[in-house]
Amino acid sequence: MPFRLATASLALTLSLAGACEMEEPEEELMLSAEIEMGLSVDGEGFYPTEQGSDQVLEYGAQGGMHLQIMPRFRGASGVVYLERSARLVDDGTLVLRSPTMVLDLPADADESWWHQPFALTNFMCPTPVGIKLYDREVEFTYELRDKNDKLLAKDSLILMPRCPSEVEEFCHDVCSGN
Amino acid sequence: MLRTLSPLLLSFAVSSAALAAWHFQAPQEAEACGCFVPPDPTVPIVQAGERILFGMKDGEVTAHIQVQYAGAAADFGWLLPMPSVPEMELGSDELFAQLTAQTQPKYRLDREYLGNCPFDPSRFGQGGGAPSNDSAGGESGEGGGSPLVLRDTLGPYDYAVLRADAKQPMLDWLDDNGFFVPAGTEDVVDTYIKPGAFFLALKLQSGEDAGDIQPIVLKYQSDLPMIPIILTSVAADPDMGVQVWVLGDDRAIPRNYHHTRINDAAIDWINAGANYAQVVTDAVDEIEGHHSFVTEYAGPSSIMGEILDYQGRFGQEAMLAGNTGAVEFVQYLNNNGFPLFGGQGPNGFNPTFSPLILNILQASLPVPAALLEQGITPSDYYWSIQYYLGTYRQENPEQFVDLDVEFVAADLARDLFERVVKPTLAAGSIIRDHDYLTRLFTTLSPNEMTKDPVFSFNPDLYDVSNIHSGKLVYHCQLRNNATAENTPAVLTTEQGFKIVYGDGVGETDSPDAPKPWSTVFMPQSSYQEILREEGEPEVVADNTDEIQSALNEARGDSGGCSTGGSSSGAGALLLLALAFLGLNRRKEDQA
Repeated sequence: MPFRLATASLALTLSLAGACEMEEPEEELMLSAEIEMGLSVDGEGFYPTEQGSDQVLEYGAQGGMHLQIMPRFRGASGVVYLERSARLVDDGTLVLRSPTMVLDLPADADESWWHQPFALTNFMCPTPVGIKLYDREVEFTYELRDKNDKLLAKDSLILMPRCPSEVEEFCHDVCSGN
Repeated sequence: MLRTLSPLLLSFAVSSAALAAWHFQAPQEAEACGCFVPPDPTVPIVQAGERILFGMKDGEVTAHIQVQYAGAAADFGWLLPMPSVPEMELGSDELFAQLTAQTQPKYRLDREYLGNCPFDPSRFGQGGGAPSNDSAGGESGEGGGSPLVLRDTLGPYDYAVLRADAKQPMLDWLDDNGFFVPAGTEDVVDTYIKPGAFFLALKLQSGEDAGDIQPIVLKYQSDLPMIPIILTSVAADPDMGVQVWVLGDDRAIPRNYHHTRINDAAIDWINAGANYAQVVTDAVDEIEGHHSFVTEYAGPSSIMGEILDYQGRFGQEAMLAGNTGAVEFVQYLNNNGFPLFGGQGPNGFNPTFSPLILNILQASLPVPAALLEQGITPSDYYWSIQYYLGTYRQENPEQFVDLDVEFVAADLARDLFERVVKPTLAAGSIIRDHDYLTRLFTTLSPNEMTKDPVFSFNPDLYDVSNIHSGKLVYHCQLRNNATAENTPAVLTTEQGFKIVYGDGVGETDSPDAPKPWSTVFMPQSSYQEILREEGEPEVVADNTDEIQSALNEARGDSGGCSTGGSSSGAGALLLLALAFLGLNRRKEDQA
């Protein structure tokens, strides 16, 4: 395809895509379930936390550093899909897009809060090229969707990743984006 | 004290020949990869490359790892840090052979003949004429203080999972239990020693030989796949190839490595990209730290088709076991997809069994020694077993004095299904379970193995074809007595660069002659980029103008890119013709 024609096609496509986006309903107004993001102790239990609180990066078993987050759910049951992402608060850069997780929520979760036995590991380091990921606020966003990709629930949590003092040098190395 | 013998780690093929899959080679050749260099225990054993297929689904990583080893069976050992206790299964060599074959970069030329070219194949009807360049290019139960978590056997392997929260107890346990650890491991293993971490250690069971080594499959919980390349640094070749396939929903990216698009004007198009691996090596070396990957294929996983697990392949174990005669048993294998076909043989095809199948068959139905001495390969023998045990044996009974066809069909069938059929079908299944396949490649020397590559995904990125097309135009109107070798020609690469062969492409036929792509001093990468988990690539360096300038300069200096001789009159005319035609480089790289 001639380059000019390809460019024109692309522009048309983008413009149509933009138009469609504008007409889409705001799906967040129709949420039917809830997620609340919190922390855990030793990977277990749900503990609410404040936005922007410090959280020490944990040593991963294959040489990485990660943050543990415990989400809990209410208002949905059965098979649902959890999508997790993380962005830098200061410039919005995406620093993590985790593969979709399949959860099988028990019937109890329809009426009351339910969480998994273990917290979810959020891969932080090694960081993407050129991005420092400690002493810098990161906003984690979890979205719960059904099999038709309909958004059921959404929550965000801002944390300040900190390097553990006992492996600070290593942490700075793998979390600096170098 | 540690016995610093063979390590092993993961190993990979680097060159296109090595990557070209076992079914085109004799098994002895396939194993003679030179991955390891025993026997001095103080010298780290060297591996030539690594090949891994990662599948990502529901927070679980499935890693198919091909282990290549060419030392003594007793010296084989393998270590891998794990984030959790893994599930472990046997893998399939054929998976890697087919992945390699289907996604291998290929450089092809469309040829155009301007003027009265006597070597234009269309003048002679089909066939003949210009050489074909369609061949593949490129690369060518814990107890006490013991760290033991579990120990078991799987196929030919004896394996153990050890807690890695302390280094010395783990290394001592490996030493005490005959799991060899390569020299230098103590110095680099610290990165992976931490509470909650594990190591998988692998060795061959007693009685197995190196030919029994087959890929393994590990399943473990993790957000993203990672290669523990730092650990590999103790036993790696310079510029070791690292070949990774990632299955997922979207195109995979190297999260903490740069991304390189190679300069395709540096590719030896005339010889189907024979220098591809070297171009990649030089291109990634242009990045500071040499930490960069090239995407060789990104697109639908359907490129693999149903090669591994097509309907009816392998038949049924019970039916195979019912063939109690040697000829009938092997014929069942021949008729049910156990051998593969490729290469050139007397009948136009060349059925070949994998080294693993050959090893299994040899253990029960060995090839008579006299036949091997005559150069009859095991694959030839099993494929034509009816002939060899029939007519040929009647005519040459002296060659069968050691013939042994006593075997237990049920046992042999079970072995084949456990070690060959199930892993191959499972490999086919993981391909079909994921929509998208990405193939990435880099080379790293031991001193560059300072950062473990992690892979992530970006749904916004474009597909990358492994098929690359250039165009070669012969200008026969510029020369009398034109041949394909001496006719001035212009090659336009896929990225739009133009290489002028003022004295004809024949100048590349002599191995000693300077090559246009090697005598022009230019960047080997066209773009150096950072791939994020969303959005378009971030271009760190765009070398296209520099490449074009270098090509222009070379063209001006010599009437062609070659520096091997003086400018010819035809070459100068070709330059004028080029100018007249107003050929412009298309700047856009082919995505």
